[in-house]
Amino acid sequence: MGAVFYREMKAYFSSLLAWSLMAAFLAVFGFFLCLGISEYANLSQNAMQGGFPCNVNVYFVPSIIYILSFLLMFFVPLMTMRTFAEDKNSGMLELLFTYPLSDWNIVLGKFFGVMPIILILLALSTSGILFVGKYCTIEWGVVFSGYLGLILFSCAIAATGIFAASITSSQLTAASLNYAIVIGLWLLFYLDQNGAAYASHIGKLSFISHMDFFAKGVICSQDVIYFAAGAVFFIYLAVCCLESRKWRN
Amino acid sequence: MPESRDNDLDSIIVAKRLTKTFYGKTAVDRVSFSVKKGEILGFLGPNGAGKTTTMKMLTCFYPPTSGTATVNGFDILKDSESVRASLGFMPENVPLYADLKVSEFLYFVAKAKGMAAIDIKPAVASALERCNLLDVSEQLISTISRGYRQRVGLAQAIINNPPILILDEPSVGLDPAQIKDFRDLILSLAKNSTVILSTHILPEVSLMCDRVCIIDKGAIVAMDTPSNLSDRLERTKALKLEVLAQTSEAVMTELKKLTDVISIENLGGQRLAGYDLPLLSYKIEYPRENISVRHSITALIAEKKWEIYGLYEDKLSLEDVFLHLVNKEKEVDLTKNEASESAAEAPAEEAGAAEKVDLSKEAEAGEADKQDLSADSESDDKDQEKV
Repeated sequence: MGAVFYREMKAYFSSLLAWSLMAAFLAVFGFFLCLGISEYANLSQNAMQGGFPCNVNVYFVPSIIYILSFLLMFFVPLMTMRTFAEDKNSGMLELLFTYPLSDWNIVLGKFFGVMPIILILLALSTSGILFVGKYCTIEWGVVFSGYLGLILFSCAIAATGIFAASITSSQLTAASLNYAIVIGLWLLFYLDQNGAAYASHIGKLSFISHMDFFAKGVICSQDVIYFAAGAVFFIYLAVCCLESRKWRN
Repeated sequence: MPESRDNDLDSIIVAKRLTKTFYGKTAVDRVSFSVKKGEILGFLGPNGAGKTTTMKMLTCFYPPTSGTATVNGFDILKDSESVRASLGFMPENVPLYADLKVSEFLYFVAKAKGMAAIDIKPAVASALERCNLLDVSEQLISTISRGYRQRVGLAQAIINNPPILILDEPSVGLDPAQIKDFRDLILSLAKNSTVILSTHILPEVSLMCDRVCIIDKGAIVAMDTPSNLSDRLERTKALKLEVLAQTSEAVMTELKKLTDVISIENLGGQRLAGYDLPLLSYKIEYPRENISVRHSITALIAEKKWEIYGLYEDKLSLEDVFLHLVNKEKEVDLTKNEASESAAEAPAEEAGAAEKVDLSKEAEAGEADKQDLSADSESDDKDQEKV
């Protein structure tokens, strides 16, 4: 697994891919951060005039966490889409299969190869909150809970990305499929809102409903389990996909 | 299909009735063979014969549909990881990570092959040295030439000194000088390993391999040493006669009088410096069992007082053997055609000549001025072949 991880890190950082994705992510995040700050400024001004308090930990921090999760939903598939396509097209995957590596090793190596970039992005994004923290009293527990949620959330998306990449040799198809899965899981939320009983159960599978508590500073074991299980499930599907070469004609 | 009976203890690879089907089509059909420790076995066959599929099964890329094999004592189905740990594989088109440096790539491979961290650095250095890659070790793989890429492909296979090397078309795409270098490199690296290599370059097999396994349409059609193969399949013997004479016709007329000769081929003449008469060459083909033909020829030379320049035995090359085996099916078709042609009162000679061209060297096909002495002996000969 270490070898595949090493290769993935090299592939991201020796090319423009990681750097350009990071730059784009931070630029978009910066834009939304400005919007968030000005929105919060307006809100708190109105609140002060109305005579009621407007807590930064209730109104600002969760909105930043939601923005970040929304951005990750669009950026992570761009990072994972190349994981298998390049190896499949160059024939390198076939060579990897002849090394004493298990399919789990290969998939986990790819998965953990994507995670450092995501963690770097999230680490850089904290600068926005630190900046706001200079002027407001931010409760770091809420920020910690939000970021824990974001890490778990990105693990789940990265796993869906690895799965999507494992079933095709085209980067475009992998990204499209990944968007379909992620947006689909996101939109299940609406079933939870105004559906029948069974629809509400399906709606519970939505990403957004499990990000809710994290963003509000509550670490709920069922949310942790949901994202962790989602990641394991999609990684397992990716392994099955690689193993299919053994039984497929 | 010949089945290997020598599943000796010293066999490092034993394949038992390996079969692989893709969408109902059989790519490899009950292939059995064994390879002894230290041996170099060549898989020879046309494109699509099943060489790569057999290799992929041995390297555990995919399992066989039926049958199994043991590699270094491990079963490919039950102990795939140990099998993969004991072999080095170089695929046909040598996939590499173009964005890594040569040394980085080898570092990655050593890690992927599970080498201990402490052994990786010396292993990379040794692989670079053994494959003459020191000059390009710090270059990106995307910038090195085809010859070097091929060497990197070999370096990744040998980096952990596996006891078995499986090389799929190792010299494809190289120029003749590179092929020679690369062949020497493989031979030097193969000293401590057992090697299976596939190729469709015939001289490569006779130069490098201890044994040849000829595969066609997914089945082994022959397996032996290169020289035994040509010996065993030689149905006819041929003599090359070189005489100094004024006219070819006179010599030809006399040669035609010889009995028990299958065919006489005029290989043309040439002028040699220092000789007044031109040098005329003939290829005389005769049935293997008729040794008397040799005496008749020498007697004829003595009688006619021809100035003899040379008389050699012309051996069947591996190329002839390969074409013979691989074209067997075509040949049967041809014979069928021939039968229908003769039913339509077509001249038997024509069909015979067509077959001759099919079996003989390509180079000869254009210039051969073949004289069929007897159509009967030719078709007898074909009957034998069919049997």
